[in-house]
Amino acid sequence: MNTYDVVLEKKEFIGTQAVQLTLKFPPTINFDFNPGQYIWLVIPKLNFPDPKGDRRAFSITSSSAEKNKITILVRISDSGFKKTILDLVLDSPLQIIGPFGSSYLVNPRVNNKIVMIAGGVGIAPFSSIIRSLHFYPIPPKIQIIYCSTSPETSSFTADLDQLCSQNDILVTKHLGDFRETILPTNIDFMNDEFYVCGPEALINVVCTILHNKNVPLGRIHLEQFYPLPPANLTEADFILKPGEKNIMLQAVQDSKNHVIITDASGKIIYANKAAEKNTGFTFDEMRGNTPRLWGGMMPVEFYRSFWQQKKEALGFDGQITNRRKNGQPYNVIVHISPIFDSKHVVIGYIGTEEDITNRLNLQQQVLGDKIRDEAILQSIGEGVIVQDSQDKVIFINAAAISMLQYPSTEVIGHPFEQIVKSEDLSGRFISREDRPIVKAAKTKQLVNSQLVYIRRDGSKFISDLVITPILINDQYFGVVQVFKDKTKEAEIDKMKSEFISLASHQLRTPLSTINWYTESLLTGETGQVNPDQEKFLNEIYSASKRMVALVNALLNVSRIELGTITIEPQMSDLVKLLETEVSSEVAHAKVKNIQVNLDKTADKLEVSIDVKLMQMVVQNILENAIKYSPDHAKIEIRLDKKADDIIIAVVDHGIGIPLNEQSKIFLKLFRATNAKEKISDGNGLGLYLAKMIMDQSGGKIWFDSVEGQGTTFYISLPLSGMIKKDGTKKMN
Amino acid sequence: MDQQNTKDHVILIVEDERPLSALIQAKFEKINFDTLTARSVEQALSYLSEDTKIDVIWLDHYLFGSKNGLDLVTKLKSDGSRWINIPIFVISNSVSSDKIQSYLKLGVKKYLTKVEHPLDELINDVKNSLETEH
Repeated sequence: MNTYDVVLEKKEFIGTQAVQLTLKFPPTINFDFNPGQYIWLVIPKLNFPDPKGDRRAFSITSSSAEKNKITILVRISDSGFKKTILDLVLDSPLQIIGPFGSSYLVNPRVNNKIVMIAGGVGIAPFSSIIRSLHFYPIPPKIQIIYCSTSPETSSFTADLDQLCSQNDILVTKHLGDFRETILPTNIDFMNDEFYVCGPEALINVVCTILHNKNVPLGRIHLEQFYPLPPANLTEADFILKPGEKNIMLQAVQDSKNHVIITDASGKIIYANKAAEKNTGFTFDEMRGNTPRLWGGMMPVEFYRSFWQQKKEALGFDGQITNRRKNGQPYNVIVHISPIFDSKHVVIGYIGTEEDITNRLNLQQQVLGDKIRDEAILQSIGEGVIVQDSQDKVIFINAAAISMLQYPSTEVIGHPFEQIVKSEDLSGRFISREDRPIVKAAKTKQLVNSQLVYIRRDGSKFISDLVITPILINDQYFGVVQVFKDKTKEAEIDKMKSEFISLASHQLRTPLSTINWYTESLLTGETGQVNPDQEKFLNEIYSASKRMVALVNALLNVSRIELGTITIEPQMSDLVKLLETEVSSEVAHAKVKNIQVNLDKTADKLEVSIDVKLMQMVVQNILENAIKYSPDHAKIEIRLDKKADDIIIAVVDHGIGIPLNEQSKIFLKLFRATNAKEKISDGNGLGLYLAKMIMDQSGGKIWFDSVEGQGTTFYISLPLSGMIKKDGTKKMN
Repeated sequence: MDQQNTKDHVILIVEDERPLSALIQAKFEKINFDTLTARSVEQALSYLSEDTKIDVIWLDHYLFGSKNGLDLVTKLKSDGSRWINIPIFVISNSVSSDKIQSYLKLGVKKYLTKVEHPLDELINDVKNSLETEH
């Protein structure tokens, strides 16, 4: 490399952004260079001060055939150096050092297509290569992608276009920022060589994209302008000569923090042990590269701003994702600071990385959990309130806020009962000590309650609530209250109830009319009735009574199925109940000369039962026993108190239930074939009702039966009796 | 003159189903009751506001118009009402234990379900209760 004196032969503006300079060598000089190389242009005397000094690197754009002059493409800017160039008059003396550059030298042994990606004045070296094509023994296959943010390079690119079409070179031009989508489809990421030249932002974007396409670094060629301005750090600055001691360097070398030092162009000239460990690359592998070696994982847009900040010598701080040598991605907090010399010229950069991958993963996990829990709690339709061991509300979900109408800011941090007031169901104000949440916190036990909450605006609603203490390893952490607004449920129940009431009225009214008028006819008060008339009237009457029974049964079924029945157990004498039922069926039994015997083990048996419901069950079973027994048969009712429960057995010797229909006997409206045959009167609802009642009250009902021999029905109740059930309806 | 001078009792029958009310009326008249029939609470109240003597009320729950039997009883049993002590028999086909409780709480004499009893039984029940009261 040599220094040459040259003069400015020509100055040609390319749009408003660039100027092309032709520099003439002394007549005796043959300036030999390879297409794609660059030179340093030195301006002996700057007209304007420039902290970066008096020299810059420029790629040669002209053909290497021309030995006596070269052209370079200069991007116009505000720097002192560039402004001086604009002022240069023809024949101005300048100096050229060079040529430099090996990156764009075409390797004759490599036959692959070269994809040249250039932005702005980065087209310069490629321009030289293309103009010098005929110089190559085997001209390389080339395609160009040219990206420019300004449309004003037309005259320059017109030349290039012509050259390219003459040489069968595909040119893709794009106005604007480089994007992956502008890459033509004929690019072979597996095999093509990539030459990239242009502004640093573009280089980083392109490199990221190529990296994502798995193009190995060896096939990506970037020029590093070299050597650098004299004020610049080099590798030598960080090597200890034998015998030399540098505590600072040793400290950095051994530090657990990843430290990298680059020269002013970003090339790595020092890496400490931690950096080698962190990135997986040894310093030898890093040499000649920038930290892009293990970077390139951030989205493309990131690099645009990254390099902008670096360029402005501001340094960079941020969180980025890198990739180790083994391909493993990792997250770091990176700090990059410029290193200045005494003249405040950037001579290098120092960068540190702190691996936060684990921390981030944990954060993600915790955040994920938190989001999930939050989503669950907020989506629950019931109100959820959490109070800590200091009796302060620490959480209130959206449903609770909506029901109580207190904003969370007014509730959180305060004891719940202080903010939200409450009454009992009779309208009496509940004092603090009687509030369920206070009781639960005090006793550290579960509390169930039903009360009226008063909303922020004074309106009220009935609420069912459960308050549970939070105990972890026997340690008390607070309470959780879950509550719901029962007003709507109560309203709906009321509506269902009214509907059934009205339906029953409308079904029964015409039946009452039929019954009462028929009765009046049968008594003879409207005139004597002959035997035939009497017979017919009786048929009408009994059919009508069947209808009444059916309507009753249907109404009971509706109420069970709508879930609104009440079970109100009270201590009652089961023996007395059975005796009453037996005597009320005596009339029916007598018609068929059937004897009903009650076999009791005691004269009195008190159990907690809902009398009305129990009566219904017993009545159904007994009626069936009588209905399906032949004349003169015997029916036994046995009452037994066992260890855990009480069993009532009703034994008949009637038609029995066919084996293949036994599984269906409790189904709604089901009647066994033989039953239908023997007795037309029956609606198939009695046993369904009986089973529903027993199931819902905590008892059981089952049977043994043999067709033609008889059936025994069993009803059992736990000794504790029927389970209380709140509802709005009683069965009739 | 074989005019019937005094009837034993006067009954106000509040029932909007015409066939039923006609039969009930006929049966009560047979046992020497004077009868008044109304099919709505409004109509019943108009009888009760006049200076008529009424000894007992036979009341169905669902009636013609927007008001039902419960509304009538509430009104009659309110403070200062001159009918606060009149015996009321609620004879209805509607089912609702809440309603029944409400009627009983207000102080009606009896609540009976129409379909469960022959008419003659109900008539006798009313007659007997009036007679035992005297």
